[in-house]
Amino acid sequence: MILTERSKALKRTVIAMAFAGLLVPFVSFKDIYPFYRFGMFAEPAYGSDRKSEVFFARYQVNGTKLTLDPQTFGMPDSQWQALSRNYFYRGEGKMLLQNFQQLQPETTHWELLQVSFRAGLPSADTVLVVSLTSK
Amino acid sequence: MLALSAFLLVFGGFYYLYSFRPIVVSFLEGSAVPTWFSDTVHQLYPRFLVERHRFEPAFFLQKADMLVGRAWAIMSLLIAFLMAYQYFEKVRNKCEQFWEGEEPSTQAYFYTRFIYAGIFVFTYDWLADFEVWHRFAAFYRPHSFYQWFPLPSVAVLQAIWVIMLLSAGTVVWRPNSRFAFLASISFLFLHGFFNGFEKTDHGFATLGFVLLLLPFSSLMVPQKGQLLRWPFQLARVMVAAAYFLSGIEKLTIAGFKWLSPLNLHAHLLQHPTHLGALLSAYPALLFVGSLLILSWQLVFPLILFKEKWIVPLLCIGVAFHMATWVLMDVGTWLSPWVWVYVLFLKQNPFPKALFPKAIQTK
Repeated sequence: MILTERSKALKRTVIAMAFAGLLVPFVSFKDIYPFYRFGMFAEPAYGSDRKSEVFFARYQVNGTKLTLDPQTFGMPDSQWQALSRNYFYRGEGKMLLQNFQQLQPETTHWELLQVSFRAGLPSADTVLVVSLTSK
Repeated sequence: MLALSAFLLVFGGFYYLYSFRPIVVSFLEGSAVPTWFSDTVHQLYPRFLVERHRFEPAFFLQKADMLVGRAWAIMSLLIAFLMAYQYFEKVRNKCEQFWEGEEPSTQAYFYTRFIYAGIFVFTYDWLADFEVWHRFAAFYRPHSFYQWFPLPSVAVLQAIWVIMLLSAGTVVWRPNSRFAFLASISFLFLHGFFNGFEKTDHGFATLGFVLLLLPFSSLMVPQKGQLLRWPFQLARVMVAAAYFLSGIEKLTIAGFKWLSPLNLHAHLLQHPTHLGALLSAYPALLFVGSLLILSWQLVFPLILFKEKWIVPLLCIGVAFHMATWVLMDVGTWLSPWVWVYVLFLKQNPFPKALFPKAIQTK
């Protein structure tokens, strides 16, 4: 297949940009949408103290205590874990609960809990992070 | 010019080690550093705010060294390649052959049809998702170019979705249609919206790459109806590189610690499933699984050069993506990463009635 000079120039440009789209996120440790850094599961799941954590929330409806199943709100569980971790480390746990409470105004007494476990050990510690009592 | 670049590269390495690295150390120790430096760190590595609570300062210093090391390694490889390209005719011929070798138009038509049919397969339920995700508007944190625009309304998202499907349908019907650009851009725009809730979904990463590149196959073609080969080759390179870089990330960030059964065990605990819990009881299996995954990702680029490796590497790939779904509930049973494997198949494996023979061009 013989390409024209313009076609060859386009080819070179697109190839160069595609490689840049691949390598810049790799070097900068950052997704630059629609180009990604492929660091999924690359970082150790636990820190130097071999500790890792997950988050969950509890709330009340008409006096009945329920554990938040994010999928009942239409949110995948992985999305909830990402959001709760980010809000927790930014010190915005209360805001996270407020946002969920506003999705279902009839709910009350929201609590955010952190479950910590050490890799290789079966036991886990549960800590109340923040609560939201007002409706 | 290349010699000057090589000199600057060596100079840059020494500059980092003796002048810039001490600023990084001060920042991680909490000492005063120039504002521009802390701003740059938060801009380039926003997850630092979260991750600094999980890891020691030494972990981040290692990461900073790695950033510079990666840039240095890539620049070195680039200079070495350009020198080889300039001075050795054999290298130039090999490159030309790689990008421009023969690829029948029928096969190119089949790849295009299959990839764009994927848009229907993976986005048919997005119409309902727009409304669901709009309920979570309070969590919306737009990324990249989305920051310039307000939250798109449900009606706008639905209109783009319709345009995307109509364009993709046109491409499935006529693979050399320029509507491929519209279908690809619409897809990437909508997928970017879903990524705006503080979680990046890598599930469509390689499909997005491929959709970005395939429309170029119908531009400036020598003969009407023909599709250029290089966009397909480039798409294959991107897919292979995605796996390879994924392996390199694991090796360079976690090192051989990544192979520890404790690591996979912790990942399984973070993404709990019944089967994952069963597997957690067997550390030897966790180690073998981790070793297999890492080895497979690192050798995946061989698929571009060794035909006999195609089937085994793709079969392991299918098993890998199924396993992440079954054991960790990540993704779905049919992964978009697997969908683009079609580009590596040398022959159309489907009944011809499903993907009819395209117009044969001379």
